[in-house]
Amino acid sequence: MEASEVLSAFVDGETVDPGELAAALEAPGARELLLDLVRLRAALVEDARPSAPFVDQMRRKLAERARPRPRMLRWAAAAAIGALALLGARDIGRLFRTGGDEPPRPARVLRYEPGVDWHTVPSGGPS
Amino acid sequence: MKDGRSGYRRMAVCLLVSLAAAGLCGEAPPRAQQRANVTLSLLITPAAGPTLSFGGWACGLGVGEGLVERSNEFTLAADPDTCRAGSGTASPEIALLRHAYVWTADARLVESTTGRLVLSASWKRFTRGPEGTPVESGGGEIPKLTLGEGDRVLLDYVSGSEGSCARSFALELTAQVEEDPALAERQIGYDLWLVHEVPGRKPASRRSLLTAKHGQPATFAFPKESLEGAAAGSSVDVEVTGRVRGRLRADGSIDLALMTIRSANYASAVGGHGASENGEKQLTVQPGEAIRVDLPAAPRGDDYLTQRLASGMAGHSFALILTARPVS
Repeated sequence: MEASEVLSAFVDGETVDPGELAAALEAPGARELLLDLVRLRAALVEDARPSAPFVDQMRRKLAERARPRPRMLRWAAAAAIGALALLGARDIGRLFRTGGDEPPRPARVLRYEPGVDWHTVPSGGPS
Repeated sequence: MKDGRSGYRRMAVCLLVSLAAAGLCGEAPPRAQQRANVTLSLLITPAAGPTLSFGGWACGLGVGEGLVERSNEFTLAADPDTCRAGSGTASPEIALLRHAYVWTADARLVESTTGRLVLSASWKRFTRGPEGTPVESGGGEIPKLTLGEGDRVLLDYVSGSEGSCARSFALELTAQVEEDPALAERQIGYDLWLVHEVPGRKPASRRSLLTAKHGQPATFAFPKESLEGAAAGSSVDVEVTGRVRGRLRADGSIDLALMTIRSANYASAVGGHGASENGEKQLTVQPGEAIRVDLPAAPRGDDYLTQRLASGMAGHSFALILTARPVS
């Protein structure tokens, strides 16, 4: 194990061999490396902790969610969902009734009247 | 008793009024009368070339208005030796100094709705007399002339003399509904179905989705159908085509003109026969309102082949179902 690894393991709280630690501390630059590792760990620990304003905001949100909703509101929401579902079902039915295969049901029925607005074109005799 | 009788009378009056109102309400709404562009033009057919239109006289008219009252006296003139033509306000005497034929004419707009224009027309043709004075050499009057939009009618025709520049001249009248500029760019969508019905069977239908500008025609052509039931060794084919033209109205309804052509053909080893019929229906609809228009049965003819065609079509009926709505 290299000196830097021994020092890093020591700072992380891992069990290290006292002899190896002693040797690592004797290595050139060991003092600076040890201080850097300690600072890095402190910084990581600080970042991992949420800030105080964030914690306060989350607490407020969680407290609001935990508050019970009025029963009337829940019934109204359920009724609205039910109505929307019925409307959707009706539209789906309509979609299938008129969709592509069959013509719409006529509101009025008219007829071309021969001699009035329906005429035989003179051409087209026996061939 | 007196009160009771007057009560009955009141009820009777109310009933009659209600019936009258119901009768009126049951009728289709009156179709919108619109201004129209009426054009009188000269057609010149040179001795060795195609017929050319000399657009002499065009005017936008309201219903009841005439060309002459809107534009003063008007003259159309043509000369077969030089193929020259002209129009203006000159009198026939003056115009005849330079042209061999001179027409004065008038046209009046009687009715103008989508797909149907009714006009009256009158015209006189003058030629140079022996002393240079105008001599009326032709003319006519049509008190009621019904045209479809874009239809043309020849009012008068003159043949050119031997060796002259022009083979013939003709006086032509056309009319077209004048579009409202606020609506001219709007689009109308049409959902059109051809329904083919045979007793005892589920109706078969074909669909055509069309779009056209306000006032412009949309043409349709359903595929040709071979009818079952024709005699052995023979076949009957039916094809339905046509066009639909719509105009949006201020109240949201749509004026429609639905022109339909049904062409039927009978073929056999003995011989064949083709017949074509057409019709135009003018109506006013609400957006999205479905209208069905039934096509009549094929007419029975006198000769063998016509009867075979009618026999082959017997039991088959055709109808169109149409809805129209503005496209946003």
